[in-house]
Amino acid sequence: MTDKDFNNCVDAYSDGVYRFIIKNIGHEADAQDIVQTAFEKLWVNRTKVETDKSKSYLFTVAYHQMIDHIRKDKRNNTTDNFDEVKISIHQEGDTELKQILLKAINELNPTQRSLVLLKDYEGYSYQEIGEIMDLSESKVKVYLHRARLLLKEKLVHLEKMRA
Amino acid sequence: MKINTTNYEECFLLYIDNELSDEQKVAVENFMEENPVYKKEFTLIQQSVLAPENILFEDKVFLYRLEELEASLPISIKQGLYREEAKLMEGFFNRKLIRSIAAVAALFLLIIGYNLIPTIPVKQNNLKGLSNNERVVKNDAQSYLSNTANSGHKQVEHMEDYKKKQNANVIIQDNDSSTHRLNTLISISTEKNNYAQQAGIIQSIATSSNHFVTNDNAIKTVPIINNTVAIATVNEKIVSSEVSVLAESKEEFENINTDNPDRIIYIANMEIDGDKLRGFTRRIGAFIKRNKTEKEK
Repeated sequence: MTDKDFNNCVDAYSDGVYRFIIKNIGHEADAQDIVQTAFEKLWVNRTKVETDKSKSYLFTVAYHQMIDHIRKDKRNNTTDNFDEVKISIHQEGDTELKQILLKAINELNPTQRSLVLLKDYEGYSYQEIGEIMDLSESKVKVYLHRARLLLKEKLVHLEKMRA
Repeated sequence: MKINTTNYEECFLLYIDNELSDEQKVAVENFMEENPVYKKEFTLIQQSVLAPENILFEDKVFLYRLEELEASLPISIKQGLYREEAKLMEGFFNRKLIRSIAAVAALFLLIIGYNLIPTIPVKQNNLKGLSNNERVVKNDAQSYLSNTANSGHKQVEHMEDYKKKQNANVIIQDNDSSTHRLNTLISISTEKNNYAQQAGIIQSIATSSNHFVTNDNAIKTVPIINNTVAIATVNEKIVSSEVSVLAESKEEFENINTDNPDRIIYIANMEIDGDKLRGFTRRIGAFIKRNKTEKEK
């Protein structure tokens, strides 16, 4: 990977990696740090990583960095209320349904949330998600389907509340 | 895969996750048309899919590698940058400038060192009356001794027998030895760097000169036969008086008069470790040489 290829990767994937991380942890500065670490590792290992695999490599590194961050955050017991942070990053034009959906996603566990985000935002296949999250394809399928059904139940609950 | 009422949910989920083939997708769509009851279920599952959001990472500039940008710069711009840097360094490391800075720094250190010299204690009595200068003290002592020797010669002239002449020679020899002793003390005093010791020795010399004066009187009054013994006792007194003067000199002090141009002033006693400075001049030289090379390029 040349310097130019790396800079192209920055242009192409930094937004996606950042979106994936900030939707998970909801903390802007920590998300920026994780993204920067991921690209730093890509640069260090640029001779080993093929250019067409750079996106999955970035998401893999970022995901594991994020898991470490969440564990460290729980250990230090200094967690902010991520739900509030995540709600604050919602855009003004969001519909009520979307806001409810985002709130429901925030209530998922980190693994389920990551599965949904990788699938919906990045369009990864089960196999690719499994490689990123170090899960088997069948586990990805099961976990993701459970997450979908949970979201659906929340939407059904919302419909009942409206009725 | 055949869709039925038991596996429709999984099929719907696979459908929205885009994990089905085109044929399977058509099969799912046909199932919903045939079973409108499940269409609402499909819609609810489909609503759980997140729509893309436009969230940007604004700090991309910190991620870019600028080597590519630097490599793309024209050579003329690079040379211009190097040339400007070389000029700047040349002006900064000008030899004349370095010499002038070193001279000013040395002068500054000299002034600071002079002001930091502690006040030198000197005993007050007798020193003012005699002189503040070692050379003056030395000259006084030597002149006194020469006078004493002359007085000895005068006494020899009045001697009538050979024995008395011999005693007179002893006196002269004793005076010569006293002169040598004083010269030794003065030479020691000039070699010492410690002002306190110098002051003490000068003081002892001055006091011993006073004792020589009394000694002269003693020589005149004491019979000539006993002159040797008298001078010997006086010399012992001189030694004891030096010790007492040195002891007394610690009690009263006064600043040295530094206006005398002949006075030797010791500013500092500094030892430089050459091993710690090894390589410093070489690095400075290499640095200046490198700038010169860049300028030539």
